[in-house]
Amino acid sequence: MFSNNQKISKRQITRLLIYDITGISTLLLPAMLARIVGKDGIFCIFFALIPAYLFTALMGALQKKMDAPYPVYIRKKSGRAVSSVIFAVYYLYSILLAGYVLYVLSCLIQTSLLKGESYWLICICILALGGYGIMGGMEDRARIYEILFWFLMIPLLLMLLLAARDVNPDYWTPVFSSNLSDFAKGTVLVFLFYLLICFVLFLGAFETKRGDGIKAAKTSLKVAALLNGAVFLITLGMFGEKALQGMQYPVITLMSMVKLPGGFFERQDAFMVAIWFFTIYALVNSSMFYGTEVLKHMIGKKGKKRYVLVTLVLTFLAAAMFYRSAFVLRMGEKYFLYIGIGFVVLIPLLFAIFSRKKSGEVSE
Amino acid sequence: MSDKEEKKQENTPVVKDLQENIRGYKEIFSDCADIKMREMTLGKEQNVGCFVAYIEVTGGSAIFEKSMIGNLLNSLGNCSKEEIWKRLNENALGLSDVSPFETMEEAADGMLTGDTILFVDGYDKALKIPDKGYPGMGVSEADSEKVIRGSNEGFTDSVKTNTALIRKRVRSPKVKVREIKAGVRSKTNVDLVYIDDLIYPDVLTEIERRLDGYEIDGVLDSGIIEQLAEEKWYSPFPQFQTTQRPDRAAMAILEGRIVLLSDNSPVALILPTDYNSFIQTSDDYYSRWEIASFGRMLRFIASFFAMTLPGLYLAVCNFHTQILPTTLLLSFAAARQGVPFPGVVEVLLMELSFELLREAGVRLPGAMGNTIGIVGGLIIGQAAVEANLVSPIVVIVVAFTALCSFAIPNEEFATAFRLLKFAFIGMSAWLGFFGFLLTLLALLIHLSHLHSFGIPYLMPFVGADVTGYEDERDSFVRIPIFLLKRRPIFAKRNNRVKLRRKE
Repeated sequence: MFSNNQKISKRQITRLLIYDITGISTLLLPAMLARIVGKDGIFCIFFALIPAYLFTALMGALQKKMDAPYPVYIRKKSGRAVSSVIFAVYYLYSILLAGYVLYVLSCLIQTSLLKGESYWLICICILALGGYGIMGGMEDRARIYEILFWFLMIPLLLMLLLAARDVNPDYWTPVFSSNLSDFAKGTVLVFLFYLLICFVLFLGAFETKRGDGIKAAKTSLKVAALLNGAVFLITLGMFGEKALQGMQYPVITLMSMVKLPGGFFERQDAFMVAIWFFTIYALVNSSMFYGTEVLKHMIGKKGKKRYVLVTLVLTFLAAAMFYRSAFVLRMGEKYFLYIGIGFVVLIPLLFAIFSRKKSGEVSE
Repeated sequence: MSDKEEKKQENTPVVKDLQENIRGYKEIFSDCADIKMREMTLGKEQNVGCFVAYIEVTGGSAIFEKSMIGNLLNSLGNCSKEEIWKRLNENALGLSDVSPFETMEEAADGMLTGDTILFVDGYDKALKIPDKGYPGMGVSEADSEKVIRGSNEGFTDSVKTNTALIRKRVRSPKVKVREIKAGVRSKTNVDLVYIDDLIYPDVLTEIERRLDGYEIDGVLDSGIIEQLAEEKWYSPFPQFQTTQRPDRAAMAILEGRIVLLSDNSPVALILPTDYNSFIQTSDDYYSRWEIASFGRMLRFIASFFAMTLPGLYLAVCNFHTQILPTTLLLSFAAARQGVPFPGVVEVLLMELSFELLREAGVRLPGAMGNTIGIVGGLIIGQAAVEANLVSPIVVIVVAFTALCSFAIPNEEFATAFRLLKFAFIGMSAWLGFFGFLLTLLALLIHLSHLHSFGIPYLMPFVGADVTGYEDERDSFVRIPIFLLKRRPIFAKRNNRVKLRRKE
């Protein structure tokens, strides 16, 4: 009998993580990297895999020590007061991430599909669906993305393949023209996107087999790197460095330029936006889901709906602030780059170093 | 009759005094002109009174002598009083179908199943003796689920006949039939048919629990059971699969599923179910794998377009015209020249007209139903275009959508797409392709939440690793039959092998 036990397989985790990382990164990274490090952005994409894999190894080492799901483990190891602070840090990260990604997605829809439509309407529609998506739990979330996977990946790969025909390799050179500081900034930026695998620690309670999450994280990093590398090279090869720096969503512009054989469609960027709609929605949904889980452990009372409601409201407020204030947006980006990245790496590192391994199975 | 009186009557014992039994029975069936009651005498000396009761149509004096009750009475005709009672007690006549009842109410219920009731003076039980039974339609061709290859037999209104039609196809002692009575007043026979060593017992327990969860006056069709027993009543998607085909039902029990048959209903319910089951047809397995796979893919694509095509058309034409080549765009614009309504009104007008035609076609008898299709399609559609009420392209879109919905094998499943189509139309008209994506995502979220007795609705496209990706081989495509060695997820885990090559 198929039991609805909120456990997901390695395949489902891999697909979830691929969506989480590649959706937002393929949309934003090409232009960001072009601005910071120019043509050497391709090297940043692969170089950032080193700290990402180190972080994955760190999570794996910590998971081996854990005898309970991550939030429960934090509570056990650090006591009520300290664990509440840690939960608050994670919750803040989740909410700001969800809010930022929601803002990016709403802006994307506004510029690509619904020019002139209200940002608030778009934001609220996506948020409402996000809330609906969380209510079913982890297993139901995983099913959506599992079923959509090839429907999104195949068109994307096909379009990239068709776009590759028109790439000018001269735009890729000269390489190694950036300085070390810019290169480091670019690598950190890419690592920030790869760091979205940090939620794997919270997946421990939902894994069918222990260790599936870590394996899935490694696979998804590889896929993310390859996809981002392909998108970066193709957009750079099509537009050149200067033009790429000035674009908001170069990959969407790329989709509008690709000609499908047969001529049935003139442009397919509107259809291709669906890929980023589903993948970025997945990240909004993931962030809110993990945020809700953290909040549940922080407060400790039963009742899923109220936690979801609180998370939805706070996410909306975050997205609203990012939209209304350029200053808040800049501060938010700085938070992710300098503070968020630090906490997300530091917390598991401290637990991995200072806690002893416990024997026994992971309990729920 | 008050509840107290009804309760008092619930356990009225059958007594040895025939006249008291007769009085009690006539009281139960007072003002029932269709119930025939006859007093007779039995025995060598004609000194043993007996009383026979039956529903007029189910038995009859014309065939009384040839029926089982007739034979029984004849055989008791030459016995003494004590011999009669002895024979009745020991069922020495070997009538295996005879059931003794100890209360009047049981006897009444027994007669209402279409059999004859016999009371004998000095004997404290009533006997139910099988008879002709209620009138019903014989086995005929199934109205729906037409196939190119395979049996054309369809279920009938009789649950006994339907059970036999399944047993005819699966001749195994492991096929079990569990009978339940549903409906306080209708006392409808409901049979659960399954193969004992294939099903998960939890599923059987769960369906029995759900059937027991309601007290309802009458169950007149399996549709009532379906609506009472489903988990998510608000979902447009059915959580039971329906079929009128015995071969489909037989296939289902061989997969480890349970078939629910209800008396007076030619529609069987199959549980558990998933999206994939609704797209499969019986002749997918009777035909060769290439054409079966082609048909499957066509149906899956049709199910998508049956819901989304009008919405997509509106999104593209109203919001994202840049998608279409200029010549096509100009052609659409020329076709819409002079049409006074916005695109969404055109689409809704045509869709609602089509739904009206479909409904009218179902309600009209026989040949008139076919005529309405021609009248509606040709005359009304043509007239609407010539009057510039709608553009030809909308007629094409609506017609194609209708064709796609007809390609879905299961009518109840197709209904979900017919209804959801309007949600897509509304959202696409309001928010263009974004509205379309929102609706699609909402639908996917809903489907991911949906289960049928523990089986996720989106199987085998999700959680496929549970069965080692075997179920995926019989989903979007159907691989060659000699490679389909395992039963699907519905069957018990340790009993999934269904095909082996002999060495």
